[in-house]
Amino acid sequence: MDFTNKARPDTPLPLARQGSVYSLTFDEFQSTLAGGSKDFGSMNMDEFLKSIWNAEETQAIAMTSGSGCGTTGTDQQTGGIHRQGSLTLPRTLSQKTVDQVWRDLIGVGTNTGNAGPSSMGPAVPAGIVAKEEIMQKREPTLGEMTLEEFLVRAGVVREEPAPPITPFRVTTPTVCENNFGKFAGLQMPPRPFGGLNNGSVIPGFVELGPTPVAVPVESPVDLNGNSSDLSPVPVPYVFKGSLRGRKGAATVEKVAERRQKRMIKNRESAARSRARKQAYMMELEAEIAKLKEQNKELQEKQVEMMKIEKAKVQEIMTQQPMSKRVCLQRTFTGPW
Amino acid sequence: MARMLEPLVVGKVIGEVLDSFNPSVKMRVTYNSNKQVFNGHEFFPSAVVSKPRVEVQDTDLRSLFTLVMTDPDVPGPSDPYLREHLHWIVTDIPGTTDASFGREVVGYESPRPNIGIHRFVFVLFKQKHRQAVSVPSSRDQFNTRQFAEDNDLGLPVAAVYFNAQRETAARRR
Repeated sequence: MDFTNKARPDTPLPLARQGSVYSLTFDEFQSTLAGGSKDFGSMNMDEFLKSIWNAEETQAIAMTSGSGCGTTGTDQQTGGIHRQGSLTLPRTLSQKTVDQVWRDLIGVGTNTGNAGPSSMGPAVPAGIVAKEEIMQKREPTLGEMTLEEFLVRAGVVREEPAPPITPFRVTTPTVCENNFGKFAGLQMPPRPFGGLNNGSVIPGFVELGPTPVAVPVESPVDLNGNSSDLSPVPVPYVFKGSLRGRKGAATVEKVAERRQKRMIKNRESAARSRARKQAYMMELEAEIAKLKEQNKELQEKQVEMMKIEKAKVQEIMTQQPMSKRVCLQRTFTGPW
Repeated sequence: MARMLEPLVVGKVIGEVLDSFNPSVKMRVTYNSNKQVFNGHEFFPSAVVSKPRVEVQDTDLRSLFTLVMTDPDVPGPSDPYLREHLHWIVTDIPGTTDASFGREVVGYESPRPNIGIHRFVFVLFKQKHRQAVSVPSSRDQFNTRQFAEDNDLGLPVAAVYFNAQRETAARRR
């Protein structure tokens, strides 16, 4: 939050909303970096992206230190994606400057003539003549565009010369589409950015290497599958999935589903086992209680019985003086 | 008397097989004259091959009882799609006596659990009068609740269950 305050104390900070850098417009972003607008235009895509990530990290750090919320995950993600993202910028893109990318964007945009997002500003008419004019007109529009959209378009346009520029529904491979559909809609944290960036890689650049593609390839599958169920799926599985990705997303889904079912079955079995154990315990305790009670009763009975015995004996004792003589009398038994 | 029901509830006998009831009669089930059946205790299938002695205690000689024994975990507890399997039915058991004084409607079948750990439940119903209990056509897909309803037996008056698994199954690994 600090660095944006430096730049514009008056403007309501879009950062405050979701903490995303990508919802900033170019203008705002540029000014936060304290660079001139020209600098940006002639900046390499590579550097451009790096600066975005730096800004993002700074912001994330600021957020963590400031709010103390659970943004550590986000931090890690940011950091992680920061590392990943720099790998995934396609070679052609990174060579170009922001300006060139923008020009291509606009050029194609005007060719197809589709309506762009509102932040684009007035539609640039087709058949532009002077470069300078173009430059002037584009600067403000570029500035008004949000980073997110720019990157999306850059990605989309880069790989497919004539896509419809409602780009978020692009009919490229399903994975890509899901990426955009999801992430464009969200004004969310780092992850979509990584996805976006790598999404731009996917259509033409699958061969670039599975690792950088890993995160975004898996995440749409995850998110678009059973999002609630797969949230506990740990990170290692992500990379496994990417290596298998060549077989197709369907297989990966099936495997994940099977794993899921197994886990559920296992959980149920464990629950039954616990219930069994508990029932057994309860029964034992009930038995113990019953036996203890029985024991107590029997003991009391025993005492009672003893008392009665004693009383009986006592009674006999008192009668004894009479019968004693009888007992000790000689008896007339056998003659020997 | 809730204390007596707890193991039945925790073991899910009340729920999956029976409805909650008030245990008003004492029933004592004993195998081989020395192994009494307590809720949730484990028996080897070899120990329960022959029918047990089922004593119906502290009631009067005029009351008549029906005993049902089923296995709700067929073919396996994780997927009991054949619930329940009927093992034994004895009717017209006079109070204060045992099952040998009743009429065996469905003969005792020795438990042979194959998959997983099964529960075997003994349920005692009090009959309203001497009656001819409807004999189920098959031992499979039996439903104790339905049986009680069909024969107007009402809620159980006693129940007990034991666990059993395959003789050679791995125990306590």
